[in-house]
Amino acid sequence: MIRVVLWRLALVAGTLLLVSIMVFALSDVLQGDPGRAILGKFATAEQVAQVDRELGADRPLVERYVDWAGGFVRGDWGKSYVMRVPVFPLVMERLGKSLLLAILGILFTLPISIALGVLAATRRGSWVDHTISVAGLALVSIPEFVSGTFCLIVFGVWLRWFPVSALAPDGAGFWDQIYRLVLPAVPVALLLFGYIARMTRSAMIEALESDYVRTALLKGLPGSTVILRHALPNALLPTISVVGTQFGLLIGGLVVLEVLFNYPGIGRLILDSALAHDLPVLGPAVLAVSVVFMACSLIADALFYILNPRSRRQAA
Amino acid sequence: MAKGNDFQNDALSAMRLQLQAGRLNRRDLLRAASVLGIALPLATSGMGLFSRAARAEGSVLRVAAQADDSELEPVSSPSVGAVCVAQQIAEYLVWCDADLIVRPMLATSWTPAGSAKEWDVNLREDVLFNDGSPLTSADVVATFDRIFDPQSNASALNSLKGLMSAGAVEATGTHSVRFHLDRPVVDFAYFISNVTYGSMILPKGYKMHTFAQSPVGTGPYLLKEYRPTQGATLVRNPKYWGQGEPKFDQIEFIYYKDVAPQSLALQSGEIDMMMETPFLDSQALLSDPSIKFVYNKSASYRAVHMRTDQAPFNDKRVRQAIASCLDRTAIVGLLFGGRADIGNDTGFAPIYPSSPALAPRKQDYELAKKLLADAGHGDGLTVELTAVTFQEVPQYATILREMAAPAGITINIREMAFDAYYGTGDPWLNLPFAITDWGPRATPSQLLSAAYTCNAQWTSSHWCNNDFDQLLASFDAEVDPLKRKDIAAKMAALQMDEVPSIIAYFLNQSRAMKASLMDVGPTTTNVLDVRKAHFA
Repeated sequence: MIRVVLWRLALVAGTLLLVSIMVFALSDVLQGDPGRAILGKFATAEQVAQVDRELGADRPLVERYVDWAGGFVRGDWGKSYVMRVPVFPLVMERLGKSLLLAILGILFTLPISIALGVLAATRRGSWVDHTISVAGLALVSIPEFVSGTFCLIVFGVWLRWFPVSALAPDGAGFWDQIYRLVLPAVPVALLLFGYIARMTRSAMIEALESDYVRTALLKGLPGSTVILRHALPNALLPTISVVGTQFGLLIGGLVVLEVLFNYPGIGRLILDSALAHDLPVLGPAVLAVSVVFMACSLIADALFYILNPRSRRQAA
Repeated sequence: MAKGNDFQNDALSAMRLQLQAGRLNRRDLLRAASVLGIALPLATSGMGLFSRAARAEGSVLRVAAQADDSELEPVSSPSVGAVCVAQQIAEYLVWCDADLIVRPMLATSWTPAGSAKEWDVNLREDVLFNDGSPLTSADVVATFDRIFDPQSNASALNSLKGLMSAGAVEATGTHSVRFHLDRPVVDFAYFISNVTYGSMILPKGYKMHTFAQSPVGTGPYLLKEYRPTQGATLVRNPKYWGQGEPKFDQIEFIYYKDVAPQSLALQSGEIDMMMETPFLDSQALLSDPSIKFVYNKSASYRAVHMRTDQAPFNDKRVRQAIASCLDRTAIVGLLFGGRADIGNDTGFAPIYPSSPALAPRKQDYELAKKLLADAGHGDGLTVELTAVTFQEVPQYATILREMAAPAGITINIREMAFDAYYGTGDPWLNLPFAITDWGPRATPSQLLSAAYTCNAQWTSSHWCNNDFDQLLASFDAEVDPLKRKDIAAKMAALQMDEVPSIIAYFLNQSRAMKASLMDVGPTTTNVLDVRKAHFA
């Protein structure tokens, strides 16, 4: 057991190291000039060269990497070239905002999609099943800027039930922020609904056809008990893995929604810092997203492990 | 009339004669007089008009601005989002309005001392910085010294370079300074106005990159909080020198990445106005009765530059041929629904009083084909056009391609992201054939010297014509508005013949706001003046 955990942690560390090298190498290719990023597009070539020298941007690549990675580990993330604010609080704030949106989206979609997935599996081949499957497929294929714009116009502009800007003004409370995130969370939920419902459905069908369900039914247990107590926990295992990976993707991948709802998440921060060659922000922001991504899959694996009777028995 | 010096009096009597003879209209006279620092009773009569509205307690104005991830630094930041916030906190010597009449702000007067090469500027004596210290000439000297410090990377340099140099400003009294220019420039007042947006007066002790922490200025608002890439909160400066100004107790700036969310926020009532509303992205707002648009003519334009030092564009017949393919009225209709001024490939925008009346260059395919054949491209010409992905530029490129095709010119379009186009290697200054977006300039001289003189900093067409440069110098030094018009006509003719850039239109700047929002000062640049603004 301990060996398994240690092995997983070592894997995470290795992956992070690899990501950090890739991010650094990539930004070195992207780079052009840090001096240019700092001084803006109208500075002269001499001024840019001067700043490059001062920053040590002309030192060898490996030396710069060791310096940078060391700073990252120590929590010394430096200052943004462009915004001239410390990077650590900036990335953390944006990460928090993205987490909030992703969690809300998952909370919206999880109960409905699991329930509908189970329903579709138990009514396999019926019109209910077909409707749910087609709806899931359709919703997955609607890009989030379409569903987002639709929500904005209908619920924000016409009905005015929800604000169109997701960012709460200064000093607003937690619940106000949640209220403002309802509209952007809807497209997130719609995106995931298809995946989760379909995954639940097929896992449920597999579970329902298994020997232990047949045994339970033959034992005379009521159908609902069999589904909820026996089939569902097993059927949820693949769903958990899907949610784990999707959640990680959501953290950095909601740029379009962040722009549409004017919500300063980490996806937008990464995009903007890449476009502005703001390397001190880009590296840590990408790494922070990778850490969250890996943490999510770790948690998903742990849950999988806990819920799966087979792995429990093996460990014991 | 205010008492002027000989220089001013000579100029004014010349203008008066021309007014009587009907060769100069009243508006041109007002404009020319204001630039020379002559306070005609007429010139200031518009000022008190708006100040009647009372101040509403606790009123908040919410403004949406395009965000660029830039710091709040008045001296060096080129971003609209940062500049429009700083403009509420710090102020300029002179204020230039949409009608291009310059009005006093921190300066009470600007008078040429002998010739237009030396200018005496007097300051208001009742102005305090928001840290309590009084505004003096030392602050003005320090502000301009800071601009000319090479470490500052000041945005104002782009407009002041070639006009004055380091150490050009001398304190002549506690509240008076003298500007020593490099050459006579009649339009000097524009250069120390909001048109040079990085020239706001900051206290002499200001250290760069500390504005967000210690925002000291003389302006109508105080910075309460600045959130990079998100927005800013400003509160009314209770000790502001302007009588009864500003009207709003608070301004909220909200930064956006895109136009569509701003439009939606305006429609849903979450913001009160946008800094800038490009036509193509805001059609939905046009039909909304609760929203109004404020349009301003401007000298903002798109330059389709052609490198005059590289084949095939080194032959001016090729450049003329492409220019002859365009139906400019149709372009303005397609891109702006008619809300733009037609350009004739010269920098003399219709908004400038000195601009000559020109017969528009017509679409003429026969001429274009003949020019191409004469230049040795009788079998057709294939060129690549780079378009920056900014507002309507990509659509404009497509129209160019379609309009050039019948003349046998094949244009292949390559789109380039904004940051790449103005980024490493300066593609915008080096590509042979590309479309560049240019912001507005208050004077033809500022516009032309930025890109069309031999030593221009941003000469993307690499065009150099000594006659043109000499004409520009004499234009700058000429006081008589009619003589200026003559020189302008010669320069325009030269530019139309040589076509270093195709300039098919000048944009109207448009700003969408709530219909009930009144008296937001309109200006030609992306400048925000809300001192008199209030809700109806």
